[in-house]
Amino acid sequence: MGGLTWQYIIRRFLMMLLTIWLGISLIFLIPRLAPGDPVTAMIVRMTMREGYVENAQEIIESWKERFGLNDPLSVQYMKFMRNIVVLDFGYSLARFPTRAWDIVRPALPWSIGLLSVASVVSFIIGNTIGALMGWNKTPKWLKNVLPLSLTFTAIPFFMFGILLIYIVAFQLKWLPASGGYGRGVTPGWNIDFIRSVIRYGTLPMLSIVLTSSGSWALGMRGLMISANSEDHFLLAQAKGLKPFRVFMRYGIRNVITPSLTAFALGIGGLISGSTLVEFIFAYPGTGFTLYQAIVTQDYTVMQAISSIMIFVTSFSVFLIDLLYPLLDPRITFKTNK
Amino acid sequence: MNMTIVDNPVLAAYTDKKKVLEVDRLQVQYETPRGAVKAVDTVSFYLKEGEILGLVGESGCGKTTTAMAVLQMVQPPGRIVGGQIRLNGSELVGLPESELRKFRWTELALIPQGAMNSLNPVIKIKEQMADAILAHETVDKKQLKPRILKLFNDVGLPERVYNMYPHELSGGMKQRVCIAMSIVLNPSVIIADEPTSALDVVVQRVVAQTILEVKERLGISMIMIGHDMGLQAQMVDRVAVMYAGRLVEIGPVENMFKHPLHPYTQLLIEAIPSIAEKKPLKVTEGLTHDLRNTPEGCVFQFRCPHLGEDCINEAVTMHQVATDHFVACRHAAQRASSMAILGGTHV
Amino acid sequence: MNMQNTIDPTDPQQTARRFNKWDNPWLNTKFLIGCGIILVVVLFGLVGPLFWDTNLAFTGSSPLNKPPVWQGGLPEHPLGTESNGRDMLAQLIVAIPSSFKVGLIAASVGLGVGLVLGSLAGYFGGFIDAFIRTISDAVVTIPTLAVLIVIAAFFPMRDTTSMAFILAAFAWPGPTRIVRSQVLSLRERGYVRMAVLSGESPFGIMFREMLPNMLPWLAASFTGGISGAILGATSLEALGLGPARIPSLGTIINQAQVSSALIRGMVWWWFPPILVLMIIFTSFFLITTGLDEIANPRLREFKQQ
Repeated sequence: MGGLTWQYIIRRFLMMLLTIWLGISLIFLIPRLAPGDPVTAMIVRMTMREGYVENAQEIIESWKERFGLNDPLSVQYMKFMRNIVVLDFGYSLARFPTRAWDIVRPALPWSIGLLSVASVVSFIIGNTIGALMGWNKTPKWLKNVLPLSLTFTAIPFFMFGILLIYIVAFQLKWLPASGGYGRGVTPGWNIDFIRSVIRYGTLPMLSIVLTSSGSWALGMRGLMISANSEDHFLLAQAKGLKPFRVFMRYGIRNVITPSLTAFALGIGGLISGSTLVEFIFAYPGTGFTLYQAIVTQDYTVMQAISSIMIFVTSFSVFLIDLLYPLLDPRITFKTNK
Repeated sequence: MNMTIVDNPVLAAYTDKKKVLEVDRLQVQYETPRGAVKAVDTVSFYLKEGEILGLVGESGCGKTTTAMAVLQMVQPPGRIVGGQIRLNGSELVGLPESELRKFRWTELALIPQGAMNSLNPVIKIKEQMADAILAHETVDKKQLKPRILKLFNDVGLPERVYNMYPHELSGGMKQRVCIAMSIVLNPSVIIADEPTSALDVVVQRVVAQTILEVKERLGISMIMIGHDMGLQAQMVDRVAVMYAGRLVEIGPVENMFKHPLHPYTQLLIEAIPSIAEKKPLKVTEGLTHDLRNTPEGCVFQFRCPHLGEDCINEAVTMHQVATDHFVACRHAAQRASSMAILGGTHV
Repeated sequence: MNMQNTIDPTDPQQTARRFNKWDNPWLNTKFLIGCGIILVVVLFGLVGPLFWDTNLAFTGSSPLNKPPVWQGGLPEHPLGTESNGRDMLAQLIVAIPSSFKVGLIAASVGLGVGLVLGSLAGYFGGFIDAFIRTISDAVVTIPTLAVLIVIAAFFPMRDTTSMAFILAAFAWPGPTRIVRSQVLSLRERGYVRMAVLSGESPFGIMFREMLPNMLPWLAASFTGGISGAILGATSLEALGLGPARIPSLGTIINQAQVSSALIRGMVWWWFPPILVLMIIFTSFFLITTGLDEIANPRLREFKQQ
């Protein structure tokens, strides 16, 4: 299978663990840098805002039990890590005694669905546009038209989302402005629901796709321009191969890997950005749940979502890392020497 | 640009054997922000069936550009601005890409310089060999493997190369893959662009021998570009010398080496270090002039040791000194006829 | 062509002169346009207070919910006001320098750290390189918003400076990566090897030989960093986690969203900050793309004579 070796897989897997460990440790550390112990700090803050917190005593007790309050830091750390692995993030502060994880879990499929579709679509569209812009055999008229598709590249997803809501949802009334699915629809694997999900998900997805395609396009354009002058590219033309084949197998195939690297680097930004998109669209994913947690000062849920974001990002990067050697067999060869 | 063969004395001179390739007053220019550079300035020559023609000159003289022009692969900002190129009688200049593709590889192939980069690093060798075939013939997929393996055998490559990636091969093996790839459709003409330059001396010899064997067996005509005069002497039948975009001398290899006529050719030959006699290394003085400003007269006037008044202002044409031998210098041509050594010599 | 009128072909100095004086790579269209627009925006923020009362940016200083002048509002609040009693124009004038301040501080710190770490990694290689590279790869993978939110929740940010430094903690991997790859490729160049052979110290080499050649890339990284930091700050503020006292472009958006300005049709509330941010981001984008073209000649559009 290309250049995939066990050494490589293990190395990238360890890298994923390192990243997750680093992120989770930060999440552990930060609340404990504040004076006092983390849960009391949270309660105090909530009390300042709400006036009175129900179940304050029970919350403190359950936290002490799970994560330890007065134990030395190292013991707390071990308990914390152990709990994270089993996805035990403690109880939600705002909706005690619901577990934090139970609040986050239903939101996950929405976010993952939105993100995976949006990122794959924008990657494919962006790279295709970029490759066409860079290829020397693209018809002139196409080369002049394509840059127009990049107008919104520099704009953050959520701002474009606001504009889309205003224009498409309010003025034109073509698509709904918020929510994950229609009001009268029952969730489940039925046509109505699926159609509703698609309808409600279109604008959020477009906010992401139309703005992020641009960065892939520009990167790909630069890569394609250098591919045009590669010796094997020219030889392929000399061999009389059909232009499309030269484009795909001797052009794109060779430069897709740097583009994939950029994609892996950008996943963190994609997740951050889609969080805000969900906020704008009240789309029931982890982003919107996070916003609600912020507003209700539900720190445990915030920590849970942050941790999940780190997991998902690291895992996605790992998956992309696995794709590499399949596309470019030189990668494992070089590192094995 | 519809001048007939009759109008070009260089091409008309030889009528004995079949000419597979005729380059007729070819002109190639590069557009740069600092002016148009005449990379190939009215070059004419022919390639006989079954021979190897060496194309030599210093870096930047236009030999690779000429070869690329024959292949109709001049990259922008360069383009062919004049002249004709006839392959087995068919005119190539001006043909649309869809027509050109019929000639590509089936009649006209390339052994590129530096196989390091000419093989696609992310695709296996077998696929690169196969797509050359499949682009022009409909072949049963099962027939491909034995056909390709036979070619490997012809160039001395082991069978395992079939399933390997380019980076797993040595330089010499990669070059031989390129040779195998070039003969896969049995073309009439192969252009070999410095096929041994990037290799060490021992491997050079092996690759050079492979090329000669292949050429003999299949009867292919070749243009071999290079700047290693020693290697040229061993491999080619005729030599064409270029300088600053113009052809200065073209003739049979023995005559060119023993009695070089053009002052530039003489400098090239004299610069070859000799094992036989100890003599000081001859270094050619001066730099090539700016190719945006080609002079009216002889192109070698800034470095020629025998410069005359007429050389600066009068245009220079190719003078025939033997059936197969031309010089772009009237003084040299005069000297040649007075020497009478070359009278009547032809291959 | 008469020989006397043209350049002497054998004189290398003469042929090296540019054919066209406007051929200087730094006169790149995109770069210049981008810089120009940013300059205008910054000036607007800096000079604004001289012409407009910035106290109107405080809550309750102005009548509520007035539309802009051309939709029937009051002439003393030309861009309208919002439901907290703030004048829109005043808010914009105050918010712009605030956002830029964050961007500049975070990007500068990030670039500084990146220069040091990237040079160390690229020049010395080996374990140092592996260590720096692994850490920076890990930090880059972590979604910044995730950690920023946790930080912001437990350490409410009182002012833009502290937010800027926190953002800088995530701004260093990018420049590190760029500096490292530049140093790696420049290390093999002839003039660097000469400097090593002549006994120059590593720091001397890095500053005198390598730095000047890295300028376009460093500049691109810097402007990208400012853009990214402004984006990070705006994201935090839009979610309601930023400093609340002084309005910044993100907090205006947050207020608008929280007060349902979109549904209430108060376009003059949510649109101006978005417009200004779009202009800022697009201009930085032009600058960065222009710098890319300056650094890599092959990307430049080739103009036919």
